Amino acid sequence: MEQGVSNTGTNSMSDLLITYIIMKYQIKFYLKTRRFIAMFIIIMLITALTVIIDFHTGISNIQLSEPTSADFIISGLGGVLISCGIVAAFFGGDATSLETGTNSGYYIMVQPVRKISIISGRFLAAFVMGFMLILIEYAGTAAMSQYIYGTIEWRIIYSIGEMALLVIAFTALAFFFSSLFKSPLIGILVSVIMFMVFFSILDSILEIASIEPWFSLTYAGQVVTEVISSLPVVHSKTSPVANGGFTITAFKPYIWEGNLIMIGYALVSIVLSYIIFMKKEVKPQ
Amino acid sequence: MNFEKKIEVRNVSKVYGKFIAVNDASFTLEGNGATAYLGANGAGKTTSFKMMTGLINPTKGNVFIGGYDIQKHRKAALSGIGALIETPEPYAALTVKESIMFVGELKGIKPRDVEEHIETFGKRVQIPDIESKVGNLSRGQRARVVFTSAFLGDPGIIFLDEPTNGMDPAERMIVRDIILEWKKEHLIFMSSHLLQEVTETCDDIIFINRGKITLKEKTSEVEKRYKSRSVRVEFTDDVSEDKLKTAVGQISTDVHKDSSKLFRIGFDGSVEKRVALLKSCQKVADVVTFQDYGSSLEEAFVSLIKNE
Repeated sequence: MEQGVSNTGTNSMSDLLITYIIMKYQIKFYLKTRRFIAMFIIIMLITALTVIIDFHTGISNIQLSEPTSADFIISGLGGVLISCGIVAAFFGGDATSLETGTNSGYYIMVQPVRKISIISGRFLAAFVMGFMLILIEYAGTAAMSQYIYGTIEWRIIYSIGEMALLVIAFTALAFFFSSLFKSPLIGILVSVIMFMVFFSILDSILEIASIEPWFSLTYAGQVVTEVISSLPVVHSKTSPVANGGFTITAFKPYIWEGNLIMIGYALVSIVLSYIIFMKKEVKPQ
Repeated sequence: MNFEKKIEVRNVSKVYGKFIAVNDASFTLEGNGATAYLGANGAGKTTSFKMMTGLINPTKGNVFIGGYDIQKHRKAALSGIGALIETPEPYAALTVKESIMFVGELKGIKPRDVEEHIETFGKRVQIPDIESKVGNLSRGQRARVVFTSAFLGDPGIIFLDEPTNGMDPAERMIVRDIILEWKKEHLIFMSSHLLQEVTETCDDIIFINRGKITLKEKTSEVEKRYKSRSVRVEFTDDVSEDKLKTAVGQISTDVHKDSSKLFRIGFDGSVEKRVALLKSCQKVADVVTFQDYGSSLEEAFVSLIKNE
């Protein structure tokens, strides 16, 4: 064998640029998948349904039950919490297992990129997709508010910020589940079950037990609509049930509290996902 | 970035529970040329390839690619390589062009150069329509897309794990020609079960058996050492097996009948016995063809496995 010649070493690009490239192609990939089309249709249907119900109810009736644009928007965005969970599960639930649990890993993981760029690019793509889809719901609700009240409550901007934080937290948690499982499908499924079923049951049980669910992400997610109201947050409200047989306490997080929980979920999940991804080897099923 | 055309595997082991997939493997490859990595199924070839390309981590030891420890300097180590390990699958929803462009961008190659590569190299390996979705391609078509991506950016080192797996003879010829051409200016490290392909393309051979490196030698030397030990003889007329066995009985080790005119005769591989064998066959009937059965490399392959 001929000796010695030095050669190549093509990649001196910054990790940030590589992260952007991975995000870009991941978004291209998502946009062409059936799951995006399905998500898009679901979100459009939810938005359309809200509009149809509004028209069916009639403007005067709406104005009677929801006297201000803020009240209307809070009511209109009632389903955003669920939507955030669904989009995060579908876009984040397979994010890392796609590389470590399928043959796609043999294509991307041999390229001159750091693993942190791969996971960051994928995370950003999942977040962007989820955020953009939920914005459709916001756009629909805002448009209806303009139509009915001739104005849009300006605090909706705060809500969009909180929604972004919620999508980040949900996506990070879905990332964590995706790093635990080899199969992308199981990652998505577990995320959906956790976000849609587990957290709801947990919140209800704690409500009956009159314990503040400060460790629940869906509890924290209520701040998405809370910020629209100009009234102070009623942190807890106890009501008698079954003719006073027992009481349940409904909790609402303070804004700072909700933000702290969401940031906590996001940070812990991202760090754990990263550690697992770094240690994980490419082993398709 | 100073990237050497060098692969250095230093006392590398990979253990899965109680199973030792690679056992204290060490070898160094440097400069231009093609080296074959041979071994039976489950010998540890693919595991070695995966450790050399950062897909899995060694349990023990170090792998240096281009002068960089792949575990510590992954990006630098992978910056000058092209790799085709197992059956890579680009994202199914992307088109052929997008898939190759993706790799091109990750490698920092200008889009115009990627397009040129698709135009020249891609056409040579006959990649499918660049606007078709990867998910709609056959396994062979996908392999050609991945092959095109692996050679993108003129990588100094190319890892090919069974590159012609699933390809038809015409496709295999194209790949063989590319390897022959590229090895002049690149370091190619490949595995293959097609020993004829290895004989034609590789200058050196590394043999791995049950995770241990058992041989590292020039292909020509291996061929010299492990001569073919059987010949295939074709007669003009039908020949009785008993008659042939009687005629070659003193020279051969065994006689196998493929058809009434075609036989395989084993012997010790020496030139003297070969000449004697031909003469004996000619006494039985007119001989149309008299040629080695199986390659020297096959003999080496079988012999090295048996010796272990």
